[in-house]
Amino acid sequence: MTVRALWLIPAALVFLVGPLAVPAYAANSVGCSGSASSFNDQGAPLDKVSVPGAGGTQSLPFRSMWNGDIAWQGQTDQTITSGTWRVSVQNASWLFALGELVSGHAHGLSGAFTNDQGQASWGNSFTPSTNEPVKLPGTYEVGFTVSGNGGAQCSGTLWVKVVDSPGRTPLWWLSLVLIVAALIMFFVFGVSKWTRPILT
Amino acid sequence: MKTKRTRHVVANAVAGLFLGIGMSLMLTIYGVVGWSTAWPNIILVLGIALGLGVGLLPVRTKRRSSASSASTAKTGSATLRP
Repeated sequence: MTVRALWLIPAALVFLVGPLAVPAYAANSVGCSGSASSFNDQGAPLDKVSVPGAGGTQSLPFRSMWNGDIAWQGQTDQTITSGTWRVSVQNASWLFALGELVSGHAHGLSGAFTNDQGQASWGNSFTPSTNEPVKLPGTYEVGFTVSGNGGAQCSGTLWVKVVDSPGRTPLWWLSLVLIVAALIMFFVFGVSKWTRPILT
Repeated sequence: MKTKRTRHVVANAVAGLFLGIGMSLMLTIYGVVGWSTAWPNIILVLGIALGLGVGLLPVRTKRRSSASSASTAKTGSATLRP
């Protein structure tokens, strides 16, 4: 039994510590390059990142706000006339994956675009809250892919931090309710067995 | 048999699961840990482990005879009071 228990220690270390070793790479891309700028909900500039570039790392993520605009511009190596785009969270934890399933975005956000003129330089802006009404503060590793119908492809990853205040968001209330419920259950089912001894 | 029932292992494990999910969500939305790291999963597993640990701890017991004698002594001292 003791030997078996000793085997559990390295197994637990591999299971717990292994996934923590997330590579600390900067924003990267394949088949394209560009930059993105974020603005707060009053329209003031908040942050800027170049892809590929030194920013957009886990320790120095690209900061954005849920109700603020994100403007981007980029150049693809090949001309893209029409195709599809996809933005998704990489290496999502179990809870986030569950949330994606519940919200119906199991594979992230995606869409299609057409450009009859055909060009290699692009630019646009969007607001996260218009695509996903539930505010999700926190830090994410975001992956993006643009696939042209002619076979051209642009993909990349960067770390993004949604800097909105998490207080009184639906997730904040959910976590508060769960913590309070857990503490009550621990008191009722756990502490009571020490404070009220059973007669034998 | 009675002792096993009073341990409430499942209830405490569920409480640990709730605590793990709640703490995991709270720490991720405040940006302490990232959504794209293993930390939310680890906090959740640690919560369940804590619940199981609390549930599996032995229940405090007391002998009925000593309990009854203690209550008799209490009553006795009360009657002796002037």
